Amino acid sequence: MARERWSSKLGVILAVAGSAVGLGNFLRFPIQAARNGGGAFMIPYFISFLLLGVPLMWIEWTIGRFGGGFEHSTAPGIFQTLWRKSRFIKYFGVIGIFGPLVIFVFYTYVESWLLGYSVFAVTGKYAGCTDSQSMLEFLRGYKGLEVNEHFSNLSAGYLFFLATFAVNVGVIAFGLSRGIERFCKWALPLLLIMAVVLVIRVLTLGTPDPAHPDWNILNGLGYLWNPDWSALKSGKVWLAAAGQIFFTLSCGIGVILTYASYLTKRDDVALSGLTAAATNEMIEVVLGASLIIPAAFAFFGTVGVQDMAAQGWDLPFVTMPLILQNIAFGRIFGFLWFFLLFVAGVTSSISLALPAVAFLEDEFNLTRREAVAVFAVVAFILCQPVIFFVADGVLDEMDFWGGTVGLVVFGTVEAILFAWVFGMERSWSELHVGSDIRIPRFYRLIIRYVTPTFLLVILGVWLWQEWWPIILMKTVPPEQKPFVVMTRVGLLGLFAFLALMVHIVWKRRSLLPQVDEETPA
Amino acid sequence: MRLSGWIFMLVSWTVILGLFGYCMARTLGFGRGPSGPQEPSDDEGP
Repeated sequence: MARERWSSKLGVILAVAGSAVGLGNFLRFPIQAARNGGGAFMIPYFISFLLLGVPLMWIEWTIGRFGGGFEHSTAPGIFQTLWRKSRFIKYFGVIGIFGPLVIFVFYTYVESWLLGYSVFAVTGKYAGCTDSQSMLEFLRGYKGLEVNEHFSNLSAGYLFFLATFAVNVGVIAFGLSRGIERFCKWALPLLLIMAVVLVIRVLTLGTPDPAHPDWNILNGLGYLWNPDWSALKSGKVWLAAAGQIFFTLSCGIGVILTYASYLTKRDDVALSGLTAAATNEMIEVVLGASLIIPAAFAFFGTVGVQDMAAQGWDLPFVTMPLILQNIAFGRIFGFLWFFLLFVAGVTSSISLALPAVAFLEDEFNLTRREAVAVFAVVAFILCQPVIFFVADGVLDEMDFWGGTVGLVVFGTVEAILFAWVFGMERSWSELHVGSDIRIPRFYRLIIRYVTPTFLLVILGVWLWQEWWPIILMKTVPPEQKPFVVMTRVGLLGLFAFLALMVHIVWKRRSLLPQVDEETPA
Repeated sequence: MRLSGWIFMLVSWTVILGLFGYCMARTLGFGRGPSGPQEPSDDEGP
């Protein structure tokens, strides 16, 4: 079976950028910046971008393309090609299938809320909600957590979930160039247009409430950008900046590896990786930062913005609809806001689905349609606990293990593999094969010493400061503990099952006549 | 917004938009760098 390929260079860049651009660009970044020193946050943020983000991008693109040369599209096989003597490295690679699958399961559900709300914005279904409390009640009714004047059960939410799931599976089923690439080629420009329209609207809000002349857009921008120099002395701020860069670029998930594995040996990775990173940063720093914080400040002042930051996944569904329904053509702008986030979500979730699908194709010789069918059944079943136990901590637990722990561990492993196991000489040479730009030589030192150290420090400090209380469930309410334990058992079972599949594949392969794995296909 | 806020915002936007513009221009083929594409190295396989 001929291996699928990207049909254009721009297509793969937009697909990788689409994978990186998600809810975090519009929600997580502005809140992190506002909480951690405003404009001063940009200093550690840019340093992290150069020392952590860009090197990790190059690492993932390079080893993905290298592994693809051996017909491997996912981390177990790719890691094994980088370190042939190791019997265990392929099991670390399981994180690169497990993480995206777990994130896909809860992310698709959150994505379906955005689709639902984009319809509600146009139809005016939440128009009667005029404060945060009533907007939260609307959201709880939509999630099926309470019966209220807006919703009597979960049926509307479930229908939007089915539609969202079908969109994702449909795009993947069409394949790499006819599905993912074609979708991202129109989705990213559309997302950009919608974001620009919204930013222009927000920046022209002026002073919406004459009773509070201080609550205006300029002060809203000031809330985000005025530098607090004392923040630079705090290690927490530097870690927050590093964490934001890590998460926003989709590094450490395993999806960039898979996308890059469909490149040919002569395709550029150096410029493409940098372009995908720059596209994500442009959307995050220029557009993402100009939306929710300045708008919320103009309508609710400093206290309102601080309350908003505590809303977590509920944030886009409470504050922005309240703001947008108070301006002219609010229904249209409300639709643009939710549909913008929905499109950003889909470009990310289709990339999250691909590693599992590619694993089934490559290692079990299934056709794309067969692999997508198996994936759809498994993912659909896994989504059900998230939907029906959303208030019991299941979603947050999956986010923590799949979307936080998995990323940092995986990123650390691949950085060490690239620089120390595969070797800096070979890695540097591989990075420049077919390259359209020459990377400055000091990046050899950064990739070899600074990036792995940076990642190990993040891993260590987070484990000490944040992960340990979470792992011991110190922050979990007592009534949620049984659900959290069950989720952990389920995730452990899923990881063990994937590791067993990898074991079976390699066992079976060792029994077959040896194929030449010394040179790329 | 204070002057320092304006400076941080505009410098950040300039850096990001500059990098994005440069990368896109190179990707779309407006002007090639001196190095050009390299041939694969002899050491292709592990």
